[in-house]
Amino acid sequence: MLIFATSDKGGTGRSVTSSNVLYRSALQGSDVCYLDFDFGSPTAGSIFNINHALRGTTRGGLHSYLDGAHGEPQRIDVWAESDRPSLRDRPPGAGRLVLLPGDSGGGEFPTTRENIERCARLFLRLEEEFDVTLVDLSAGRSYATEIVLAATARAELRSVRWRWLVFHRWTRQHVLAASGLVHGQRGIVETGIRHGHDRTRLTESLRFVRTAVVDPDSPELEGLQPAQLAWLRACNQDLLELASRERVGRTLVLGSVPLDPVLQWREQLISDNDVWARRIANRETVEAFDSLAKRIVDDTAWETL
Amino acid sequence: MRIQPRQQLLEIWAATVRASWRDDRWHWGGRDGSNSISDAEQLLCLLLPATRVPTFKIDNPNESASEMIRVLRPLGNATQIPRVLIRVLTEYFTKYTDESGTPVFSGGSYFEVHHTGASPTGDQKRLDIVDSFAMSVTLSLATVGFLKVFRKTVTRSETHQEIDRLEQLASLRLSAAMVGLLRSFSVYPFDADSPEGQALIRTVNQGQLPERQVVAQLRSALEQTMASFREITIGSAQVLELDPTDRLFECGWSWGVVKDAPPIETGEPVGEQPKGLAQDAPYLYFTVIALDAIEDLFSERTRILGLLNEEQQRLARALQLRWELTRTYWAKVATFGDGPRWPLEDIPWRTTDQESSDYFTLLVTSLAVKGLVNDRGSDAELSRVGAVLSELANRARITRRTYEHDPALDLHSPGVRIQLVGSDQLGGPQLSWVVSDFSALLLQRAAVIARLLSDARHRDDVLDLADRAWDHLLLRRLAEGPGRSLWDQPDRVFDQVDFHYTEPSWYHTERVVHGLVNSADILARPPLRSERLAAMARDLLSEAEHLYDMELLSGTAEANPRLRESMYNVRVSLRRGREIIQDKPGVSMALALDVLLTLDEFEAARRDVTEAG
Repeated sequence: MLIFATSDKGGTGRSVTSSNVLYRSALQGSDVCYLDFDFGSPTAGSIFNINHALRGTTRGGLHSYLDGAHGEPQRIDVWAESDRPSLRDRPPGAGRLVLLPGDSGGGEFPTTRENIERCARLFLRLEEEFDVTLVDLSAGRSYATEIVLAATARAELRSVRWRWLVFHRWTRQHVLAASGLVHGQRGIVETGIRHGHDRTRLTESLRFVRTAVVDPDSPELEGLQPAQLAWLRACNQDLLELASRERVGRTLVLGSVPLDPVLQWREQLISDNDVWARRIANRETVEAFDSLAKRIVDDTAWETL
Repeated sequence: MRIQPRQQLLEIWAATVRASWRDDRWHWGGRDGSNSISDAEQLLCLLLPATRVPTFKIDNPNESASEMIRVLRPLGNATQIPRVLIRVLTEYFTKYTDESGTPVFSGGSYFEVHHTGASPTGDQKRLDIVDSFAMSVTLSLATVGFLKVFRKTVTRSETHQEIDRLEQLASLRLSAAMVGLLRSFSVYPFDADSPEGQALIRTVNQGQLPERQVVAQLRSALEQTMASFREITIGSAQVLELDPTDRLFECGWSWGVVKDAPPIETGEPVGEQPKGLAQDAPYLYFTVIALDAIEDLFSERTRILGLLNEEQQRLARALQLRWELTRTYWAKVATFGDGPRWPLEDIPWRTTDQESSDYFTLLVTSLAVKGLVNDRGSDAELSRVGAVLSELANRARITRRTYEHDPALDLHSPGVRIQLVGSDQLGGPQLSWVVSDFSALLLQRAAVIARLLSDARHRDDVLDLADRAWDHLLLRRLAEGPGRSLWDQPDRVFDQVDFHYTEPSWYHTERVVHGLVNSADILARPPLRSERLAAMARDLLSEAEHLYDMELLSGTAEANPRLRESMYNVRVSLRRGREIIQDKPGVSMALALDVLLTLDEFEAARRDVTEAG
């Protein structure tokens, strides 16, 4: 299954959240791979602590592959090549976890037919090999988004299942922007239809993920003044209504990830070690990742009303 | 108010789901078995709050509050809950529609037989009853309204079909229930010297006037009502002879479709309209039930959401006419005369068929309040009704302790028995209907009156009564089993009652929920505004403002930042105080007092300089 991760604005935690979800998915036993399609700033290597690909690779990444420079993009086995001891060595029962980095100094490029064909071929190959292929797109409307929309609309990918995740923070601006990215002008739906997608299938395969969410009723907020808490609750209610109006409401939300200091400051994978032994990350965060990892492939979670 | 509707309703929701939803399906029936009324009551325990209390709405999964979803979690997540509800509701509506597509309003296991060891025959159990018409009106309206909102968030055509189907079923049942209500309405005329006439005169004649005078006065008080009977052109109670000067009457609802009631011509496919059997005379209990349900037909919600189709609006208008007539009739009778007390205050109420019970007084208070609302009843009048409720609570041992062999407890267990005259015409014994919802009904009515009162002291009295009724009801919840935290277990408050139930009674629980929903209505409005407080707040504010202006003139506002900040806060407080003086004079006063203290600190400090100098 192909999962496309995108977001309305930068700084939503799209890459770090989707990497973590994929990591949990691997721990749950699926063979997974991560494609860094954020050609402007390919930094997925740093999340997985791959030292030689912190800002993209120099040994033939996705960018140059799509451009036709070589026939096969580089693959990095995270369990073998990560510098982080807790990521080294695949835990028993875990599936493969492979990263396809972008090229360092990449940059965007226009959509051509050849690019699209190469992209489609790559997806088909990966689909045979992996249970989940997660494609991390850049923020906002990008060529990368257009390429993958065009590729998935092609006849040879008809039997391949794909889904879209739109990451956004739980704020007014982000809610509006996320709605715009999907439903607005030159948004995902409009672009998709232009490339031959069916509107219903596209919208039904699209869900939102709320990141850095602060639950106004969480006990962790006890440091705040009562007036601040009362205000926060009212804000939250207001946002719920806005989201509902903007078609970003709860029925279309696949999951939400709480605000966590580790994600905020270090943008790293959260290992069980971080939660249980070192206690720097919250248990709820990992639970949110775990549940998202299950839900992205769980058909009942994608049922629409 | 000690009642906290939100918390209590949440608890009831959780308990209802626990009792009803097991192994992924809805389990119908409780202590009194499953029938068209009990099952509707069971569903209303969830749907009443969901459709009447704004924070409990679950019809838009995008906006429903997380607390509600948490409580209903066993049914599924936010998106699944409405779909599960649709499934269960569809099950209800299909279950109570017969093969020919006619909705069924039978009393089933709620029918009882007095004393004789006989039990109701199958045909008797299938008799339609007004309780079921009334519950169906409320449930169908709640369902249609729920679907109207939910439909907007739905995209899948499958779900749309489910909604369409349910909406059709609910709308059909609504029409059929309205037709049923139109055919169960009764006007019962009698002569002044008949036993009924004598009983009525005895009840209303609190001033000990000569009989002829009472009849004349009563007739003149009811003149308009009598004139309006001519407007009844469909359903039962047409063409009545009320003109003779010694003729009196009663109006309201019988227990079922009345004998010889003509069928209603309607374009709605309501199916077969059964022949009536019920005695053509009003019953207080069914009158109250019917009036409550009919009110739902022209509530604000029904109008705003446009829940009725054109034909249903026609039927609703016909019902509204009967509703008007009935409530004016009862309000007039209950508060008749210039005597030292109202007939209503002469507890217990005696019906024209010579029965008397505190329960009847409670029912008449409901009717009287409905009339008073219409005539813009004054606080004094409403609080008199409140006082009656308070005495009823004493007499029913809700707010007083019991003594041994206390007959008052019969009100709660087994309850008041109403004979359904005419129910034996199909063979079998005469049926009866046992009602034991005294405490819950008292809570409901106290909450309604409290909402209408605008005098703080009177309102506090009635609220206190509601609170005490609630304390009593809380104790009567089941303590264990799947129905725990639901009603009703009277032996937990009354030692001499020895019925012990293991299953919940949806009949009771629904009435408690109704009471809580009414209490929530009180909180939907701003607090009562006291003129005295407002006057005081105005005076305090103007003193504070003047002192503030003096400070400004002396140049304090240009001083060091700390002092400036303090002056700025004073200004903000004064402005807010002015803004809210209309709605919350108490808060406004507190703000003014705070400002006065702050300003006085400066003044006192400066004084020290002059004194020392």
